[in-house]
Amino acid sequence: MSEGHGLISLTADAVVIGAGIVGLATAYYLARRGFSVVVLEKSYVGSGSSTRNAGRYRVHFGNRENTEFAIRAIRKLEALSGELGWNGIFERVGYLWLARRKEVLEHYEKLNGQLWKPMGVPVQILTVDELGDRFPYINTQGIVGAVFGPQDGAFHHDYLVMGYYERSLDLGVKVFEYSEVKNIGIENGRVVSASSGDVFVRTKNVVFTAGAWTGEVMRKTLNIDMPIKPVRREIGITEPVKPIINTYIIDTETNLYVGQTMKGEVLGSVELDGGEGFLPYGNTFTWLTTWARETVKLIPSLRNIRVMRIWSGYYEMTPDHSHVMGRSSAWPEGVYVLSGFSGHGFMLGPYAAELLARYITDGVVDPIMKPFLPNRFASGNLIKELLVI
Amino acid sequence: MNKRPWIIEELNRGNYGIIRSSRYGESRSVICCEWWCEGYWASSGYYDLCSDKPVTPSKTSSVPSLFRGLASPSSFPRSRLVISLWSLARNIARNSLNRSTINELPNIPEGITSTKVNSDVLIVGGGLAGLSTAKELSRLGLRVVIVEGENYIGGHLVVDDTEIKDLGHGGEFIGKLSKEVSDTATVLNGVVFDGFLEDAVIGHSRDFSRLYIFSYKYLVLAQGFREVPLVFPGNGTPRMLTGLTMLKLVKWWGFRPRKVLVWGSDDWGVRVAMNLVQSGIEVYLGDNSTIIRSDLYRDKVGSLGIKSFIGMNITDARDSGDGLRLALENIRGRKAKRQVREEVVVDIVVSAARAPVIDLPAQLNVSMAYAPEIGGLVPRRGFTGDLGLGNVYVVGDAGGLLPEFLVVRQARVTALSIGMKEGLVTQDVLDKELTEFKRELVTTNSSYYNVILRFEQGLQGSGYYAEPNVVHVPMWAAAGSIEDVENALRSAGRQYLCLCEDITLGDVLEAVRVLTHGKRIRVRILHGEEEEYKSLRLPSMERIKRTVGLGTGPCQGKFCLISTNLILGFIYQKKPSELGLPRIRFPEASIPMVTLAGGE
Repeated sequence: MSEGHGLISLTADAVVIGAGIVGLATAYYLARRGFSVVVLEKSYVGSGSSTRNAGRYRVHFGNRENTEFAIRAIRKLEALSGELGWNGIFERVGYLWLARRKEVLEHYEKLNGQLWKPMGVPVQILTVDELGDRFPYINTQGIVGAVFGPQDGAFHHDYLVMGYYERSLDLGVKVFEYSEVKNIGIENGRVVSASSGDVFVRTKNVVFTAGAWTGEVMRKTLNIDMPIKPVRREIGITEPVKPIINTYIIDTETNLYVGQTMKGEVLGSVELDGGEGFLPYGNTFTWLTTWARETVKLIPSLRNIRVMRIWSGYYEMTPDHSHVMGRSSAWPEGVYVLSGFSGHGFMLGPYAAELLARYITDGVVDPIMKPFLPNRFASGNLIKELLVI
Repeated sequence: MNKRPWIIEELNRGNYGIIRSSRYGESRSVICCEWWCEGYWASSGYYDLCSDKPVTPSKTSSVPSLFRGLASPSSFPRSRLVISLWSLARNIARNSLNRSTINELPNIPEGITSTKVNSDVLIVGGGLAGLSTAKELSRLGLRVVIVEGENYIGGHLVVDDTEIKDLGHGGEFIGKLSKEVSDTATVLNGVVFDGFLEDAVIGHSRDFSRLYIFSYKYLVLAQGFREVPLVFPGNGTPRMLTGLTMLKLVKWWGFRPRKVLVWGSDDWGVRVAMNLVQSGIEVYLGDNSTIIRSDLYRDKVGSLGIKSFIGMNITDARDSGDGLRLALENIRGRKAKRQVREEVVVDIVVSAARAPVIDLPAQLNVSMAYAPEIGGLVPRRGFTGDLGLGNVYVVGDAGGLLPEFLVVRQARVTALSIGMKEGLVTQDVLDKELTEFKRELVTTNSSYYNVILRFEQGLQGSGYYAEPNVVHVPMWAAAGSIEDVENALRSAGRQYLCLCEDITLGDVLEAVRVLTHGKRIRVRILHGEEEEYKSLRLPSMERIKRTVGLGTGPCQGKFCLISTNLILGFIYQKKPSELGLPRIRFPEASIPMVTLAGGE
């Protein structure tokens, strides 16, 4: 493909596809390392999952690779306010997993003993009485125990997206909104350009950070098969009230989650089956009523609070529910990916972006990113979950 | 007529500062008793203020003026001081917002039911447009259900005692129509139509005891207009009311202010003023248009002795012991030969600045056309009201503001259009009615001709503020010419756009500045330096919303989104369609958890 197809013609060290949290962070860290960067975004900045999520982070994962990654990633995340000059509204409110079956609780105890405790992020196992004492607003009927992870917490997604956006612009990153990438030019087995309908960029590196759209856009532009599939999830928020829900509650049986924002809105959802594919950004009555019913059942004092707004967004799922970062030797030279966080892109993305930027600029593969290289899907060397939570 | 609301006693005692604002804790309140205003009160923890038994928070707080700067929507997220002291600041921030506690929320009684409502045509809104459409549809033999948020039908005409072209006495006309329609159609009063889910279309009763699940062959959106809070320096004052609420308070419940300023001089604004004069109140009428906007009622203003401030801006407003002290100055366009400055003291400012209600079309992702001649942002796609979705129509003011007699005509066009789809009416009957409607439209006001042309040629987005000295933003009572815009921007920090979350025009302009990466946009360049103007790309309203929180309060932007769009469009001389609107989401009004839980 020759240039001249775009109205704006540029040269850059790297083109980043997608201006969500992962793309903006990648652009920012590349620029910090001296790269000139262009970001192509098919809608507006943050229009995908980055501003549709619940704004929660945790270090507690069901396997060593992810937990190790998350511990470092969360350290990075929690320091972002200072780095970006935008307040991430961080708060370690903790995660509270409620167990309704003994086996579930035992699994958590095992994970704690084998994994979390040795890594320095022990959880507290609570009896029903302890649960009732510490979180008196929870209806403990049918609950056999709970797991509290005090290291986990909450943030404000919009402000962090804005932070990366503004700081990237400071470093000269060019962000093009409503500019969907259409073509990646390849010559002699390596990237030479990337272009959208209105922008043509001569470049040697392209980084795919398109969240749930990564699989689609890599297939369309390079015919690369990247197993990242969108799954739609619904979520809602209530009118604001004074602080009451002082942690982030997950019912492991009903898949209900409930938290409260700093402004006072109660935020939550119930995860129902299905939702695969790019379903429209709508909501269902089935979900809405199930969410309300389960919420009132678990926290009876929320019965009178009013639902103010509901919406939906996509998880970007990989077969092993873990992200993919780096490049594959089977790909043209200069093609990179950072995506497939499977619902954890905001909490893990900034740290992953920093690692990937170092990899792209200096070729350094940090040992911690090795398990997440894209080759694992071809080799079948997937990351194994000890417990899916 | 509802029960005498609690606020009447407060107002008659001279207590206008009924609520504390959510963020700053300042004495504030736009008084609006329409169903859609509940969200605004709720943002600070107040409920049912327009009922006889309100719920108010037991404790309120306020931000000391020293910290007010840090607490603002634009500086709070970016303050290095707040970030460095975050572990301390977050507890203060979280606890100092004025909200209800969970136990103070009004209790929803047990026994929630859900009702399925079937119809051929479901009409949302039981005002002039909805009732007129219902009447025509019933005549065609279709089964009509009307959903109306208020506990009465008739809309704004219920409290209108003026003479209306072709219709006669407003109240009498609508009374008769209401009766006719009630005999043939099902009317659900006190029910909010919440909107569209993938597997259901639902609504709820205002007492939250019932959930409605609607099915219909056709949906007619007839929500009329909505008066929005005025934006001017000092509009954080608690002395602001919407026109419709004002008429109800005065006529139904005995509110007795001495002097009021009605802002907005279109048909409705003048009639609000006329109604208040009839009730024995001393009335001023103001607008920053060059003449009284209403062609139909222009002559009435002088003959009724209404003192008018036309071609003027409100440049300052301060609460004083004897009332609200307003400074008014004339718009300084080239046409202004001399400077005029006036000061008036009134009990209250009444906003008659209205905009079409576009929430539901927006929920359906219908894009908005800009048509300043008929009220700004409109979803209309032509005069049958067909929104292009197959079975959804918009009728009346909700599709673009028109004089009442034309609303009635347009309702007939919409009804015939549905009738034709159903095989009850032939094409030529519809065509004839449509032609007549258009002819009347153009004879009534020649500028409607532009609207017709744009709709028919599919150029809905082509209107924009081409003439800097033409004012199309009635809700911004602070601007006219370019000089006035510059003046108004100096006091942007005292002009509230969002009264739920305490967001000022200054906060929004700061967001625009950040989103354009600190580019200083000088207003003057918009009127001369062509290249700079052309290359100026404004951030979308969606991103502005996410930067300052505009439209994220419990009223979900019903007070602010359209005003902000039009005001920014005016300041930067851009098409409002370039700024767009943030995505409007389900539901139309907040629904308690327990109502949803019990309503399946």
